Amino acid sequence: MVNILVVDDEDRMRKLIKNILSRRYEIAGEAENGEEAVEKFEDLDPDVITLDILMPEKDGIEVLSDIKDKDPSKKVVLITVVSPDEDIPEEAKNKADAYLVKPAKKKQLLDALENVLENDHPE
Amino acid sequence: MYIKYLLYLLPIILAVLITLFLVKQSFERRDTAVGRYFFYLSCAMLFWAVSYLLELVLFSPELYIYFSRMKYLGVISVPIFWFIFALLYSGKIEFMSRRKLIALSILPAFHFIILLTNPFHNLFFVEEVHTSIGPLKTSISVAGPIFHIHTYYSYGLIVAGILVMLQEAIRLKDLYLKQSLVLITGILMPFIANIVSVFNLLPYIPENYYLTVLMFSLSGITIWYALFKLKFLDILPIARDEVFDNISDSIFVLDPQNRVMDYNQEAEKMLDEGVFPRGNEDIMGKKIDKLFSETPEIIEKHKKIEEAHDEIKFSRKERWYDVKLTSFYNKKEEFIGRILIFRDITKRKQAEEKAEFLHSLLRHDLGNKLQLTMGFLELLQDADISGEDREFLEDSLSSIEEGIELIENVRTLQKIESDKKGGEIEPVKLKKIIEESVVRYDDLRKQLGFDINNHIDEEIIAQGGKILKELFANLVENSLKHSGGSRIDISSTQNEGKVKIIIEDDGKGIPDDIKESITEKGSQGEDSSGSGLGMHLVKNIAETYGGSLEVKDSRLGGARFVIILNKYSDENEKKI
Repeated sequence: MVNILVVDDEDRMRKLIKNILSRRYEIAGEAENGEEAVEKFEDLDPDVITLDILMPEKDGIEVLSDIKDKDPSKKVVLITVVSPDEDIPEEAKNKADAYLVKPAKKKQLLDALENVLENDHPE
Repeated sequence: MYIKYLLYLLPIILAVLITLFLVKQSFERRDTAVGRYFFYLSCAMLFWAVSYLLELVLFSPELYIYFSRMKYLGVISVPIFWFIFALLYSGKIEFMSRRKLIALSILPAFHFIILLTNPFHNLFFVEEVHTSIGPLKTSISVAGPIFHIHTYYSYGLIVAGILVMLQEAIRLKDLYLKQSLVLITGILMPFIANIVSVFNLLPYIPENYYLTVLMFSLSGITIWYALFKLKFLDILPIARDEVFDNISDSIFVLDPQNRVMDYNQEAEKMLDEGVFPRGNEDIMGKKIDKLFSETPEIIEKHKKIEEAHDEIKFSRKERWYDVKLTSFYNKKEEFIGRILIFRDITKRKQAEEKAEFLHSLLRHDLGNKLQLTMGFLELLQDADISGEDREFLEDSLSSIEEGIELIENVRTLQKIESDKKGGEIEPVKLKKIIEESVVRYDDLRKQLGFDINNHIDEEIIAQGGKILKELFANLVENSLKHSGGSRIDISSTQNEGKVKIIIEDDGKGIPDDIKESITEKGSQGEDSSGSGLGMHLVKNIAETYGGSLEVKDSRLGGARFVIILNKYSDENEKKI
């Protein structure tokens, strides 16, 4: 089963994402800042990481780079409250496997995960 | 006898009438300092002329001697008023303090007192002999030492006034040059005549028949020409300087080689405050590039263009300026230079930055909270809730969605405003962005069972920007949510620089009485519970890019929205 690491600095947001995704996927763990996210990524070896961008310690863009540097095959879905056209650097957009703009509907999150995983196993 | 009498008097009567006319004309224009001193000058000339006329026509020795003395009140005043008038006209009055101007008048006042008390000391006139000019009784005076001092002092003031005006005339050129030369001619004629009379240079003219007053006639006519033809006292060079220096914008005047030819007081302040890098160097005559050595890209960008309008940040002092560049030409339409105008907009920019910060803070935090509320409510949708409770849940979700839509619309409005202030026109492939707009509402489309037929021509490229997509997304969403139909057709036509995009549906349409008002802010359709911003945004976005929106009835039975935009071509690469 697909393992997911949920990274967001807000408790309730992690709780929400876990609740939505846990109905289809296994939640490997959660992290509340960038540093912790990288540590958990190394410890838990998740298949997919949902990653908030604006976080203390280390932001989502840096975490994305770290993860992709370590293992480019890992899937990262960026979740941000800012408009993707404006504030997400082009490089991050290219590195991430998908990005969602908050507020996103439950279906959008599930579709994004599904697309990311489908692309991984097209057959 | 009488004819001879008249022959002498007529030119003087004429001079009196003409100077009287000048007094009347200048009286009406005495609301400015220049006009006021010209009025005083005209009054002094009139007083001189009238006194001389009375001196000649009165036969009683007491009376003509009395008026020959009083005449000097005009004689000593004319040079003083002329000199002050010349300073005012040339905008150089600040070089003369009030104290200096009063000091100028002390000597003439002293001369006048000496004249009035002459019988006691004979310092002004050594001797006075009663004589006649033809039939007219008058006196001849032999000049004393004070008379000579008075004469040279008066000549000095007149010459100084002429020089000041000449200098200004050469500097200002065109209309002011003509004005100044005519005025100088006006004062030169009686001045030369006075020299001729005082030094008796024309022996065939009676020694005591003063040509100066006669020349007032020619002077008057000359000044009349300046007043009515050259609009002297209506258009003054001083006004130009006053305006230039008191304007709240910083202005630099550049020659065709971009050298600084002039700048106003506000520009001087800008230079002194160190907005530009220049050190202690005077920039007059230097290339404007020197001021932009830290931002050469600005010079590069504006070097060859004739007109420009930009908002530029000067990092040295954290200042923002609205910068306008305008070219100007002479009568032969030859390029003679440019004017660079800086308006300080730092406060506005700071307010905008603060507003943007608060706006993004609100958007970010509110977006997060709405995300949480919507997400948890969506999770509740899967729970076993029925009846009225289910209704409450669905209503809550709808309200959240409307709140999210409101945030998006406010964001779009903000983008429209920033694009209006100086966004670049970009080529926009309409087919692509309309497809993206349709995809955005694909779930809703499927849920409501709509067919969307996009027949937009692949090649159509319009003038637009990032927010053009929001225009089409709003229209598609509007038809899906509010038309009550099941089909949306999107088509396009193009001609002579314009493209027309038609989005129409087979729904219930828009009643005629709200077709006009539907694009107003806050206007809502019959079954809409939204913010009433959607259609307002559509119209606003179209207008931002020079387009328009029309609301009509569709042949499909529903509403027909026609968006007209400008076609993109390479020439469009300019600011909105």
